[in-house]
Amino acid sequence: MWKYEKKLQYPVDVKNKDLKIAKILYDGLGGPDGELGASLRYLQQRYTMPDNKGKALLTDIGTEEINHIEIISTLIHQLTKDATIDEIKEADFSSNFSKHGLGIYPSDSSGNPFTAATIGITGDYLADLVEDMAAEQKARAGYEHMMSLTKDKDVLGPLAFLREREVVHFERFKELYEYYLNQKQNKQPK
Amino acid sequence: MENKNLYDENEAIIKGTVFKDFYKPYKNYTGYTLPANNEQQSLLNEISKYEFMLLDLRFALILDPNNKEYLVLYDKYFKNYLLATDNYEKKYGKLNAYGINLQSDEYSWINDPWTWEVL
Repeated sequence: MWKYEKKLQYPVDVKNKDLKIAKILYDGLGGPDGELGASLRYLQQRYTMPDNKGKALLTDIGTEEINHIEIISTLIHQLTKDATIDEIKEADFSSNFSKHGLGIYPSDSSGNPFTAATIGITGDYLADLVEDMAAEQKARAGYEHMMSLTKDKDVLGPLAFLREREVVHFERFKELYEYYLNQKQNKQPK
Repeated sequence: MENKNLYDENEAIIKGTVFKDFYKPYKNYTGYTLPANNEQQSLLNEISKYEFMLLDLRFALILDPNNKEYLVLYDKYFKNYLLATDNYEKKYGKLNAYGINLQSDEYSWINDPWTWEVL
């Protein structure tokens, strides 16, 4: 089970509306390398991990990704809150607004609904961990692209944090993958 | 902090990691600070700083469960985390739906702010 705390993992306090960057941030929410897919990928992969290290790491990283869904959604909310119709039109946000208002629908930045088609779960722990390492690198690259599209420090602080977490997760998945690989090779008959 | 390879609680959350070896910033996108417009936000930040230490140390301990140094650090930060949580909740109400503050005559869990609202 999960328990909820009324607190963000990293605080968000955006002072200026910016619908253009809000739209871009949807990639970090419901895009192919977004946080929603990340959390589901790890939490649904953990059932076939071969030992307690794998079960624990996927549970804890998957849980952290849920925190990241909340951070990205909070950024989008604060960047779009109280937007006027003129601002919505000017920022090319109308197509999102017509379907979802200022609600935060899990989609990518083009409005494509979130899909599990972009996450891999093979039931093979080595294959899954390589998928996870790739996913973290893709998400890191995505955050770098997003960061280059804004100059707002209130947005860049949380994005820099989220990007660095991708780096850390990659390193930890790599460590686990190499540990399993060594174990497997040592068991091979000579 | 004794270990030169680790950031302390004030630096780690800003950097996004406790482990100096893992800190690989993008270009010159560095030097951000946590928002702290008022006492409530500052007290909340204190919890977040310690909670972040616990999270990042937890990944290290999962992969190296017998690391005595990390176990001692984890215990230290957990105690700080409990203290910081207590400090906040005494003044601003419960962060989770379980606890009740019998000194006040209301169920503080439903009070503002929710996580997406600015403090």
